[in-house]
Amino acid sequence: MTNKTDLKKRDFLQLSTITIGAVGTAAFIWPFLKSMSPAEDTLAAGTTEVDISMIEEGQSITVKWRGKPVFIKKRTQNEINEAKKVEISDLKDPQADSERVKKEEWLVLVGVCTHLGCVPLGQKVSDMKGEYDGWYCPCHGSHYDTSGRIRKGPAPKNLDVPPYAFLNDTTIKIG
Amino acid sequence: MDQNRKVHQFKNPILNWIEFRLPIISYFKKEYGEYPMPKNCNYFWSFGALATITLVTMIVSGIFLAMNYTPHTDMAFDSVERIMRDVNYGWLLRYIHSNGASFFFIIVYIHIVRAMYFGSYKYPRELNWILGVFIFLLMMATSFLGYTLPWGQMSYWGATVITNLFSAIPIVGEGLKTWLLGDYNVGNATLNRFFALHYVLPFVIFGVVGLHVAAVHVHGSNNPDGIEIKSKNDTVNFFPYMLIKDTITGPLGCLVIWRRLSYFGDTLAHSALLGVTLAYAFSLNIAFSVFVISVTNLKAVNF
Repeated sequence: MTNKTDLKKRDFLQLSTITIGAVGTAAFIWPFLKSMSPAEDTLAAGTTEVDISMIEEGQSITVKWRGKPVFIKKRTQNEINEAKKVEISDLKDPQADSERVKKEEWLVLVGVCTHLGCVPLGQKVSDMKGEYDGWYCPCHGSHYDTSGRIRKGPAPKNLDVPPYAFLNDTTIKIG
Repeated sequence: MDQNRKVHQFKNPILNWIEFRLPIISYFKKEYGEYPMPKNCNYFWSFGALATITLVTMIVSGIFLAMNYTPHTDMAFDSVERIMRDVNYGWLLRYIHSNGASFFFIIVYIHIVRAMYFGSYKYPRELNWILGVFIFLLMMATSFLGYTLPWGQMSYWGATVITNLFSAIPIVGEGLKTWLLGDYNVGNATLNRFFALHYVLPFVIFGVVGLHVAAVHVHGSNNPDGIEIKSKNDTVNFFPYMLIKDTITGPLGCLVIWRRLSYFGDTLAHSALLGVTLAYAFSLNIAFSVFVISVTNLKAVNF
């Protein structure tokens, strides 16, 4: 019997214990942290189905999706043309109109100004629509065009297009 | 102030910086490192540590449950059902908390029986016993309050029966009961205050536990022979010798609790959850072991 310490063996034991322990600690903490992220019922409420059969050409409705307003607009041919003829290079946040819609006449946008989160005007007939015939944010004067792209004012980005799909010709599912 | 007081020197300059301003490092070293434990202590002496771990587990799981609980008579039960069905790992948190409460008492009972059988309550540790009784009373109050929170039938009638005990007191009884309930009957005011008290009392328990531990460290732990320690030769350092003992009982205790939790979490426990809970139990054990190793230094242990 010797009292000499086997340092290699000790290092191995220390390293393997710490490794297993770190994995164990992470696995232990995980359910606690995970419990703070959105629950199943919250996630289930994260999609909204909208009947769009009642929307007339040129009309726009606002629906609520994940606590945010979503604009659904049936664009007129004029508005579509206006959105398409813009030089991409002139845009602050360059994006073609075709990248922002699934069907030309239907424009779906998250109605939250990308500057500081106000809801832009332009949904009602009587609303100011800004200099580009789309939406106008009254908080700090951001102008959005008929494709919801930022054209003038402090907002850095185009209005977001939420994930959505046409379930059929008259119903879309957002989220 | 005394600038020349002797400051303990460590190798790590950060520890020295803290130590000079707040001598907490040397405190922990003294109380949980070099603290002399009688070397004949048996595994009954692990139950204090087990109870502490359980208390911390209860507080942590309770805080996470409270994030999803609504203390209102119309919503309390639904929010508990939501925890069980919709909140991620909510079922696990609730099972930890409810089964943990039962095991907390089992552990504390063994801890109390140890104190009685081996005479740990005797001179000079009487105050320890007294503080322990206070902890026990607080635990009973806290667990009763927690029992009422799910607001099912058992909770409601439990709250009714226990608060009605106070109405048996002559003259002031009825008034006292109404004051406790905040209503003429068990109602929303009752549930609200029960939740507030259930949240705060565990921290009071934690504080009294601090005094309980500080008091036992003054005269040192009792031992199975009941003969006081005569010299340093009768003791071993708390670290590593007793802590290693606790790291064996800790995981073993966890396994017992997790086995119960997995099979009998409630009468509808699903066997599909078994694998998950066992894996979780295993990680808990490992986590506890690594805690011990990381707060200390493994190299100090002579294998």
